[in-house]
Amino acid sequence: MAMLLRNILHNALSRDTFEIASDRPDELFLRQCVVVTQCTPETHINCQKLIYSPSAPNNFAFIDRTADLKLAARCLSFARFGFNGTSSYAPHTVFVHEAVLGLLALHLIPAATSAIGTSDISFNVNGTAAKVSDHKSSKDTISLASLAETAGVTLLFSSPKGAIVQTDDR
Amino acid sequence: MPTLEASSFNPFPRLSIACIERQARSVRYQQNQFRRLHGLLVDEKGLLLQALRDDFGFSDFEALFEFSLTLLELRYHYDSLDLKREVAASRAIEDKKQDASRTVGTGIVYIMPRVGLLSILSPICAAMAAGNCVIVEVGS
Repeated sequence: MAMLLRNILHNALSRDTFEIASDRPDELFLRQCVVVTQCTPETHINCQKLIYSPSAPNNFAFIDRTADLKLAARCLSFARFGFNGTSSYAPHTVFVHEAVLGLLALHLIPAATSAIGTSDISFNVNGTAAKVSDHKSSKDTISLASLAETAGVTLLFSSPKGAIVQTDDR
Repeated sequence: MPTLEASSFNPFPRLSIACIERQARSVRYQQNQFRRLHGLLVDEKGLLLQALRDDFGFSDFEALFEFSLTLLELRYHYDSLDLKREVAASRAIEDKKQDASRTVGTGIVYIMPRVGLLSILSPICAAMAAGNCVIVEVGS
């Protein structure tokens, strides 16, 4: 993708006003620029102005008693597991009203399954555990299983591409 | 506004000169850049979709979704360019009238994007539409 975009951008845009840098220029040059970075910079950048996004934002979702649970499950699953889990806007933590928790979990399983699109999944709803395939668990699902043994934590859904964990105490 | 210091090495002299001459602020120039970029993105659609599937593990729908969002983003910034407004603003300055709402580019914008199609092109389009010279850091 990087090479393809380099070629497209170089061919489309004039080199008078657009350039691609492989290495970061020195501080003397950056001092006169406005720097835009999509991750929190690890070191201080001396520039005219710095515009950055937090590298690991904590996004939250809230589901109350009046929510359309099927729609919420579908939206959350697609947001979190779609695009191979690369979305920065997807919620990491979902706060759910206790009255609808069980019903939401029931909707989350098929929604997450269809979002991930793989048969190598495990799920646990209302205390009943099941596996969809006999594939060997990946290292991540093994560590998630050990997390599930922690008191107050229930592993609702797990797959090589992601998991849904229910906890009463964050 | 960038300054040229004789003692330091300027890795992007053409951009510094274009910045001083305010070449990127011309609306017709910006429109031309956007049209060329749009044309090439559409021409290379197949390769871009394939790269999204191969490099990021996207499904066909997700790859097409991101490609479409990129084109929409480009179109949004292209549509924000208004030659009449820019000419009116220039005339206001010549007539010594104040125009506090006018915005111009700052000079050179250095972008450090995450890897991805939309994540690279979105800030480039925004910076270009604002009338800036743009440098984007893309690792080899």
